[in-house]
Amino acid sequence: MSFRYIVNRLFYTLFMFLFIVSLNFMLFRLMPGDPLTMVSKEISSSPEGRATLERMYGLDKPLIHQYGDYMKSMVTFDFGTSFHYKTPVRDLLGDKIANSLILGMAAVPLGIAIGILGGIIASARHGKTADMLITTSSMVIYAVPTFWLAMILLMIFGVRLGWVPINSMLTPGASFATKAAYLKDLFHHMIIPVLSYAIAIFGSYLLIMRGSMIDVFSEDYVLTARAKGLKEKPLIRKHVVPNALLPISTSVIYSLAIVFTGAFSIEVLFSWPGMGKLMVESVTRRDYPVMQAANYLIAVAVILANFLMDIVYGWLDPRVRLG
Amino acid sequence: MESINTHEQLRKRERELKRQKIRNNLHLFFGNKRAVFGVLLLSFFIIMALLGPYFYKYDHFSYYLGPRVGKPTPEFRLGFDEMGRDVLGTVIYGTRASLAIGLSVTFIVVLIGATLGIASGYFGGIIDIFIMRVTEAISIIPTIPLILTLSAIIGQNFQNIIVILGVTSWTGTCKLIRSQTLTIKQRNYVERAKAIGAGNTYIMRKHILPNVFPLIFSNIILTVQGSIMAESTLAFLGVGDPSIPTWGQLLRSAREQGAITTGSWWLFIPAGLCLVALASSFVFIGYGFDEINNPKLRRR
Amino acid sequence: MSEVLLELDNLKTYFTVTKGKVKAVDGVSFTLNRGESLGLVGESGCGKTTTALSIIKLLPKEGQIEGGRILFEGKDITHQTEDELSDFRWKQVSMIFQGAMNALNPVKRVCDQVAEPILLHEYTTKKQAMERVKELFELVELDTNLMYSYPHEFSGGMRQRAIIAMALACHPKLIIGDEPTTALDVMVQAQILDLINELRGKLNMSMLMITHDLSIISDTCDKVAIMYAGRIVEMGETKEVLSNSLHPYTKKLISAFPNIYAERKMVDSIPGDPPDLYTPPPGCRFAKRCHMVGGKEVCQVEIHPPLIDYTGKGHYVACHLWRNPDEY
Repeated sequence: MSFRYIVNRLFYTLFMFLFIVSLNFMLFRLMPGDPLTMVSKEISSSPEGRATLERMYGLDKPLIHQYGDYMKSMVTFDFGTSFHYKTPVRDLLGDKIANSLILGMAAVPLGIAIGILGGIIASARHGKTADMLITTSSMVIYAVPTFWLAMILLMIFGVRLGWVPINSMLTPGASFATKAAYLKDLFHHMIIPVLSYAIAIFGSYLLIMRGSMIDVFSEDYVLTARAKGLKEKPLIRKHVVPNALLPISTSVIYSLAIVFTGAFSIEVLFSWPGMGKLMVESVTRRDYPVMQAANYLIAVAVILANFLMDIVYGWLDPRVRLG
Repeated sequence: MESINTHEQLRKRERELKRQKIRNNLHLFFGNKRAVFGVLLLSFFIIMALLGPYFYKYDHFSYYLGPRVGKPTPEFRLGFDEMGRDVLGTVIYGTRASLAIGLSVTFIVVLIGATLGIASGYFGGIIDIFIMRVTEAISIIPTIPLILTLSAIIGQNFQNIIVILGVTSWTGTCKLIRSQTLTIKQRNYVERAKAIGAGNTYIMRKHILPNVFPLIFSNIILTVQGSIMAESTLAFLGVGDPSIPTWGQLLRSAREQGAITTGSWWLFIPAGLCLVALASSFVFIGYGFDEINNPKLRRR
Repeated sequence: MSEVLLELDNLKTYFTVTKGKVKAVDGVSFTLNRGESLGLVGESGCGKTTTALSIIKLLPKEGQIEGGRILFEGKDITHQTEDELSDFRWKQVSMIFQGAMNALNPVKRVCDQVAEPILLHEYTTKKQAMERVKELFELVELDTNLMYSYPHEFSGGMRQRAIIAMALACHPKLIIGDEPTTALDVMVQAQILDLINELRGKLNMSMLMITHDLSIISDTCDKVAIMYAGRIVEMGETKEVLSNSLHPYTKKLISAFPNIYAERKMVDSIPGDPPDLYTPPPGCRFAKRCHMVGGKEVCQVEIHPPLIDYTGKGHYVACHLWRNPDEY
């Protein structure tokens, strides 16, 4: 891969970083009302108290200074104190991110794998009944809201059949003697959320992969490979799939990069203590430090992912790698 | 073949070709069973949204018609909600709200996407670079966190939710319109218009815009579907206007009532099914148009 | 005595579309001897590519061989199973497709793509296959150091050479070239044609050359068959057909081709479009555009004229009016 390509992407990444992070700063200055009332009604109602709070949160300085402070605190990952929990935001986010990762890292790769595999199968049967069935059902699944699917699964397996617990990540109040017991309880709680999350995302991957495969099938090099005497299966494996995966690879990386932001509706539905749930709650609580920090982390993640997407794409596609 | 030598004849021939193309495309579209099914499904919902409230006597605003979260009865086939309202009436009424959201959000998306996309593709150069860099940067921000932030800033009434959804989902449409504009810019009718001295705004409005639309039609249809679903997710997360009974709001209040644990299926199955059916109808239609524009996708 | 390698006997390949059947190839017959080269010429859409794809049975899904036989070394291959076909393809008949730019997979190294059919058809190790690739690169005059490159690093001419190397990989008895040089610029085109000629002489292969360019035919082919609307209208030795053409379509085709040595004159064109192959006209398919018809009902009404060797010199023509060249 050429040095220039990487430097070019790095500059672009820097531009995006500044753009998005500054946007995050500006959005929170545009908030209507007085965020300080959220911290404490009593203190902010007295002028002295207000002044103290303003000093505490640096709101008494000119905007440009605030921006400098903001940038400094963001790059040092020092996000201040949560209005609601009154604990450092950094510690708060750590746990939540871990919980979201547990859920997402089980579900997202599963969903992507099913989608890509299904797309390959459907495209190989293009126009036949199997394709019609697979494609139509993934279109319907694409149109099913994640949380509703989860509600249905929860009603069937959690309430009617009683096979799985209906919410949270671990049995409340339980203490686990062994690591195995902990994992077992976690696994038990995970099944339905992971399943509904995976089903929710596979539909779109299937449709994209199918379209991409069909595009590649009409390429001349596929006809050449057929003329070489390659049978359908090795043809698909060696020539069609590698090329069809190129356009989809970037969205796979992107999806994996934002796993830690949580599956919002699933976390809310199952009371899963992850980032998604925290962010939703922070909106209602007006817990700005938490929201700002979460947005910042997301921005960093997507920007890194974007850079990584460029690099990986370059690595996968020799035209970019060597061009 | 007769020779074409006057402007009049040229225009006539172009019109003829256009009409023939439309006929061909309609033929292709209605040959697609899924797309036809989608159209039927969508028509059903449109009729339900327009006429349903006139033909069904209970609506979302009549309280205590029966017990709170009461079971279905022969008269009230889908039971009652937590305020004793008739669920069927609410679901019918919700069709309006959900469709209204989908259509208005799509309107905003197309407005922003077409303006920026056409300007970017048509003018090129520094304008193009600037617009596309910003679009790119916005498009990589995950939607839900951005929406949550915006909703915290500007508040969560019905109109605000529409605006927020609109301003956060235009980037894909914009990129698509830009790339289509680039190809249309090369066509000879645009060259011709330029040669006879037509202004930029005139060309963009009269030549580019009408020719871009057929190509992004499936994207527009899928935007309607995406907005309806995004709204339902937001409503479910508690971001939205609880006084407007969209299907998402019904699902949220069903969950808050504990409908899953109590087994009050009528609170969330009908609304959810309607949501899925309406969204799938758009997906079916959208992919139907996709197959017209991309012949490779058709049955070989 | 030359030996027949390939024989097409009244081949009919139709495409099934919603309206009915498009008769893309409608009764094509010819024979090709070992070591011989035959050019198949015609406008786009006349069925020449479909004929080629029928021979290696790589028709698109709507396409179907609905009649006739394809005999390869005396064996009918029209009803072969997929397994038999995958042995037949490339080992017996290889193909150089049109569009040099897209016939190589962009994400695989060139050497792997050339080696692919060797590994598939011959029981060799990867190392032996690579040795063979090296030989092939030398044969087509490509720098062997470039073996491990990716296709986009090659120029158009180099890619076409690599594709020819690939086509030769398994010592096929027949090579089909479908417009092998169309996408190349003129100088490169000449080099590639020279290379093809040279290699064909060296390796004693048969060749079926598909093109719309008559100059390529005169350079590379022993025999030529002119196709129009799904049928062969004239066939024979290249020199004989080009210098002494009998069919009005051939004559038009030749005169439509500008000659740089001749005086400047308007290039002759053929008015009108080829007939719709979904409902071809009952009589001669060229009748509507033919300048000779002039009231001769025979052409419009009767069956399509059969392809007959009227002269006895192996020069076949399908025209009711072939005897009246003076009317031209």
